[in-house]
Amino acid sequence: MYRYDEFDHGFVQERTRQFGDQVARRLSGDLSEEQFRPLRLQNGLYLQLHAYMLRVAVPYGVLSARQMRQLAFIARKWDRGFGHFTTRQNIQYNWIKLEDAPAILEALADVEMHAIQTSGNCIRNVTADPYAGVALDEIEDPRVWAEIMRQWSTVHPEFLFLPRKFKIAITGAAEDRAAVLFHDIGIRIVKGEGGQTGFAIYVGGGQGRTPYVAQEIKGFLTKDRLLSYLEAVMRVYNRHGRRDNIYKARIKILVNALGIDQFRDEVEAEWATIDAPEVDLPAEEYARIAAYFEAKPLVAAEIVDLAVTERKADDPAFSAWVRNNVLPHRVAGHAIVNISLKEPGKIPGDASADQMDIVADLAERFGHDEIRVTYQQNLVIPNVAAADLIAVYDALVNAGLATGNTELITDIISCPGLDYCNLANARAIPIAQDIALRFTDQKLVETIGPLRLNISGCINACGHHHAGNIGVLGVDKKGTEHYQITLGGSPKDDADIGKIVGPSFAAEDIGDAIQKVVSTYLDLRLNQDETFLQAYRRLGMSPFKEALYGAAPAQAGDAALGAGTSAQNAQLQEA
Amino acid sequence: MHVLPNVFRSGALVSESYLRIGDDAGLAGDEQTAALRADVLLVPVASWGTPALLSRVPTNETAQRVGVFIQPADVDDDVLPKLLDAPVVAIDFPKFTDGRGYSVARSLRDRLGYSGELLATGDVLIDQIPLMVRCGFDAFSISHGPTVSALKSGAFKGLDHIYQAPDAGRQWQRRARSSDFAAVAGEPV
Repeated sequence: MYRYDEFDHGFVQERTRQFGDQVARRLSGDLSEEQFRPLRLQNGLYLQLHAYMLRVAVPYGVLSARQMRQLAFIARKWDRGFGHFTTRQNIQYNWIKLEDAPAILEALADVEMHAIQTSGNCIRNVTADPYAGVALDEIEDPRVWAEIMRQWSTVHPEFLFLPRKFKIAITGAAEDRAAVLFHDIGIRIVKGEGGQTGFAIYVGGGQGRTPYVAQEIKGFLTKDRLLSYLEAVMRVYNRHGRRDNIYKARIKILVNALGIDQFRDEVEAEWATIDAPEVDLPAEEYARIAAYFEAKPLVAAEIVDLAVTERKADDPAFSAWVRNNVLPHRVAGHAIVNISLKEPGKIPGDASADQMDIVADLAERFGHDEIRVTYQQNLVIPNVAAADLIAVYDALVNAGLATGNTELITDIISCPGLDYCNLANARAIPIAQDIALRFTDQKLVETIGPLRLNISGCINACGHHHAGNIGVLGVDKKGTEHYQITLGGSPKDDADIGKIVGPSFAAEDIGDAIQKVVSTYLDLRLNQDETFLQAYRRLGMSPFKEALYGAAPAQAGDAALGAGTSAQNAQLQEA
Repeated sequence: MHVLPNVFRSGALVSESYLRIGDDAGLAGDEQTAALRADVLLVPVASWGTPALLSRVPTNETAQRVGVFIQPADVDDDVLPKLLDAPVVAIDFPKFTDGRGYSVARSLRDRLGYSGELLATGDVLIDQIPLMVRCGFDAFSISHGPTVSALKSGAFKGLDHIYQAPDAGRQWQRRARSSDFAAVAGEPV
């Protein structure tokens, strides 16, 4: 993984000092709250319902054991012993005191971490395929380019006061595991003519109240031109993106207002004028960064480990864990281990300090010192020898981290909801807990098969409900928490936005409704290989609607529920 | 017409007076006198290069510089190349959170090679000035008291470590330097 050199260390230390000075000037009154707010957001400090939240950047989701231990230390010392892994592959602490922030940032700097640009209207932490560098279907490691983009976007002077936040994701694999089509810019490493690799660039994806799947703006970009091309996209957006309405300020609105063809023309015109040697990455700098991402020196071994085979035969829970959470690695005899932070009944994405320490220990002992955070709010140890799977599993069981539900119905993405967030209309966490606790029978969960269920507490869609095969959206219906169900979303290559089934459900009814949707799928699927999404696409909305509302046509009338109050609009500035 | 407050350039508060005149260039008598006396006269971008307007602008031929004032929201790409011979281009920041001016500045400096004075006006604050410097601004008109004090004392500086150096050579020459702020605060680079 990337290691800071003297320059990176110097940068983070200097930035920490700069923020300390800004805090002091806020306290002295030299800076008004309005003037201070973007500065604090650009340093990851976000004002929530009950306290400050600090969102720490985990660049493209990659952590070392030492860094994970420091995150645990911070959780114990300055939070309530927990951290919350996010859909940006970051971690956030929900109970931070403003006066502790500089000390926390120093503790992060000690382990080559920071909270820069995790909030605010700037380019956020670049996310990537959590299996980068180890996946069987990888064309090329995206981490190198994610790190290059991290450096390029860090305190880029032109792009810190954009119309709105800006999210970039990159994958280098055949299968999209980074939801690139739901990003402001999505990047796929692809093979061009003659087998050389380059980038396919997508632009204008996003969720929120106006969800869009990103559109292709460039089918093949040679790798040496990435930064100048990104700079052209950013400049067109910065100059022409709307600033009069926060809900219309994301790049997706500009792209769709102009149409992808005109937007592409404007970017190309801008790109043609950029002095490329000044902006693009020289080969030697690429080589310097790429060297940090050399493959681990793993020794190929037998694919099947005998002890694992025996244990699987004797222990159904272990067998289920291997079946669902352990994926093949590109080096024979090794595995990618997914660690679920979705034990039914727990808060999705939360990890206790003790759990973080245990994952750090396992990564150090069995995982070549590397951990990944996934946008689905789970963890991964990407390099584990098959022979070590039993030891890893037993340790995870003791820590409550061995739920075998990766990409199954209980692997729920959920935003913090009204329990923490100012923007929320409704709680999300208790709904996630309620739904997950209805699916604790492992056999049933596996029978249902791959199913992405995502929950957002408001229309801003931090819980990715639009992209869920089943999405749950919290709405405020005459002062009570209600929940809409959407069906048919997908975050993958076949990206799509879920459609609302019908009127919303009260909190006490949403769990039953989800069970009805799932039962309908099980009753109507062609066979056990037809996934929920495939069945929905074949069957359409009708059978699900009928199961939920009866044969009579469902009433309309929920459409306007997502509209925010002006107080919420003000708070959205934080998001 | 509008007299610009506190203009800093090359690390010091300048004694020159900057006067911006509005779209309606039919100046009354006392306004003509003021315009004549201004060291720097800024005209609206819509009028720049329009002989009819310039002929109505009374220029003091001894030393007066006549430049242009632009609102980034109103500037089309085809306007920028027409500004290259202006001795001063003032770019307004109606709010410090409106970042369009950074991109307009880079387009002028990096893309079009504008070499005159690039003046930031409006909601210009100390924490953003280092970013403005890096995008090509070299003069600042400031009304915010603490920012004026900080600039006068020279105590403030931006980050020394930058990942991009678009104002000075190749972007990927990552480097630590004495200060982005040097161009404003007048410290040695």
